[in-house]
Amino acid sequence: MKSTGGILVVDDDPDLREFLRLMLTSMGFEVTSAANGREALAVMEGHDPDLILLDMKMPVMNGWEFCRALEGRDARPPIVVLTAAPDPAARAGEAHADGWLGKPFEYDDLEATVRRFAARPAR
Amino acid sequence: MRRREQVLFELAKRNKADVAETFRAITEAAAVALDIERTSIWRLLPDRDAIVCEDDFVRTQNRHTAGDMLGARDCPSYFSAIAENRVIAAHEARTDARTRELSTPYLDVRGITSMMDVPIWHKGRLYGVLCHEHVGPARRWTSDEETFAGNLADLASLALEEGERREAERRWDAVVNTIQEAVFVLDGDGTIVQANPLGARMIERAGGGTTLAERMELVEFRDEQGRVIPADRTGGRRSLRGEIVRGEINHLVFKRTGERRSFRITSAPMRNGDRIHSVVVVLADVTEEVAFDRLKRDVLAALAHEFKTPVAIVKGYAQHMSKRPDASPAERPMLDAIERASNRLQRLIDDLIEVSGISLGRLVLYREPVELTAMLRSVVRWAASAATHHRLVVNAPEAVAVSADLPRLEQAVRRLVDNAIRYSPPGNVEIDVALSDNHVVISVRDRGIGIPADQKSRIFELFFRAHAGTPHDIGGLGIGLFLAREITIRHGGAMWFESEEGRGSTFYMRLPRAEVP
Repeated sequence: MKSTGGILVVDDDPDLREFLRLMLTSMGFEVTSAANGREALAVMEGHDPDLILLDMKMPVMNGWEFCRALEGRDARPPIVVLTAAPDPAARAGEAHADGWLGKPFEYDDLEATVRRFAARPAR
Repeated sequence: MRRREQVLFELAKRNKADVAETFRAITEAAAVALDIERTSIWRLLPDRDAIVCEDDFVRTQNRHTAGDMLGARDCPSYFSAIAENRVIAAHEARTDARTRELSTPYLDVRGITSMMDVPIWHKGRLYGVLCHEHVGPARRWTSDEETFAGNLADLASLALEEGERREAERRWDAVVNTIQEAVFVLDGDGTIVQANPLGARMIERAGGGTTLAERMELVEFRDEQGRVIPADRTGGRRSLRGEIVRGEINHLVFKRTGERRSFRITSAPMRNGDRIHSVVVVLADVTEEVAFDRLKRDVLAALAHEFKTPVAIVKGYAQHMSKRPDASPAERPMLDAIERASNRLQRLIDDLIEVSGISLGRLVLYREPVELTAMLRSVVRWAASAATHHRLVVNAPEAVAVSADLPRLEQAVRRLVDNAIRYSPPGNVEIDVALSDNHVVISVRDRGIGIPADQKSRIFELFFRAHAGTPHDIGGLGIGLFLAREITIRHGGAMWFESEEGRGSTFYMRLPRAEVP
């Protein structure tokens, strides 16, 4: 039986993962994390998050490859792309993601974006 | 008589590329045909105060000499005579008023009794004189002989012209053959009719392709953005329609080998009257420069990108901690300072990314109708938060719109306002909007330090800072005006300025008008 809910943070930078975990926990979300796309797929074997925050440039399996791997599935959680690219909206579009946050992001933007996709309270 | 005509004919048809050789042929033929002892060609020196012998043929010795000199001081009448006559036929050279001065310095030594001298003209100036000299009992020159002598002088003029033309050609060939650019001449059909060695090597590399059709088969032409250039849009074809193409970058793919190289192409029409009969195309290989430029910009972009994650962490924690209710009053200003510093870093990074994007032609505009007063209000709000000692005065009509990428346009105007504030003492910065039927001109005026006259032409250059190293140097990368102008140009607009040192500057931004949304 899979656990569900919360936010999956996928980023290869451990400090940024930790920062996001702290922020999102303080907003009331449960947070799981992964260092790249492949780890994230492994996490999702046993867990079904409400939202994925996804870095694009990562080793092993990057954000685009991760999105493509999820594409064939019946249902996938919404994905918000975290990107340092100058045109984040275009990057999100390429990956068929549901939203984006440009790095570095404002605390308020992070909260607003996350709440839009993961409105359910932590279980 | 017939023999003289034959001589003239032989001399006329010979190749006259080598002037000295032609002169020797003329003197020899003349001496034989006129049955005289010597014929010589003399050149007037540039100061016109002497003539020097270029070639002297002595028939009995069958020998050419050169180098004798005659000064004008010794024989002024002779010098004026050769400048004023078609032919000086001196039957009695020692007594003739025009030639008698030559007796002591010249005629006596050589035993000359009669002479027939013809001036040689070249490009409307007296070049020198052709001298026919008879030894022995004095001789009467016939009018046929005078005509013949005149014709020989004309041939000498022709030889000079031909020699000069060949010399110019040789010099030009040397230039074309040694320059590090490939040079082609294309005819009206786009066929290469001439190429310098580098050009020939390029044709070889492509595997042929002298006609346009062959060339388009063998080589793919791409423009600076990498788009394929169709056959009728190559530089050569455009020049055939009259356009001068100046230094555009073309990327060429040699299909036979798959080799790719970049060239800076310049081409121009060659006209015969109104008709363009051919074009000259010059290709400079800039493959290395282009690759290095791209590398620089890619590295710049990658660097900037790598900076963003650490900045996100610094800024994020600073924001988070200053929001915490238990942050101490002593800590709060420190956290604010960390946040401000990370914002500044972020802006620098954004600038670098923007610059590298623009220089790579990757800037994509998302245009929509933008109402100006709202945009300017936003700029003023932004400026007011940073500039507490300046007052921004906006004078703009309501309901005026331009078609623009709002964030980028606002960024461009911010740059101008930011500069106005940074380079002026506390006071007013005026933002005006002027309208014409099709355009909007936004101007930003300050009463600041102005731009030194000798820096004005470079003010929009990337990384150029007019006040670098002066007491007015307040830092920065020299990116702002470059970006503002690039953004304006990409909106189909223009940017310029007026400035006087010590009085202030006004920057103008002209944009095409749009319907109000």
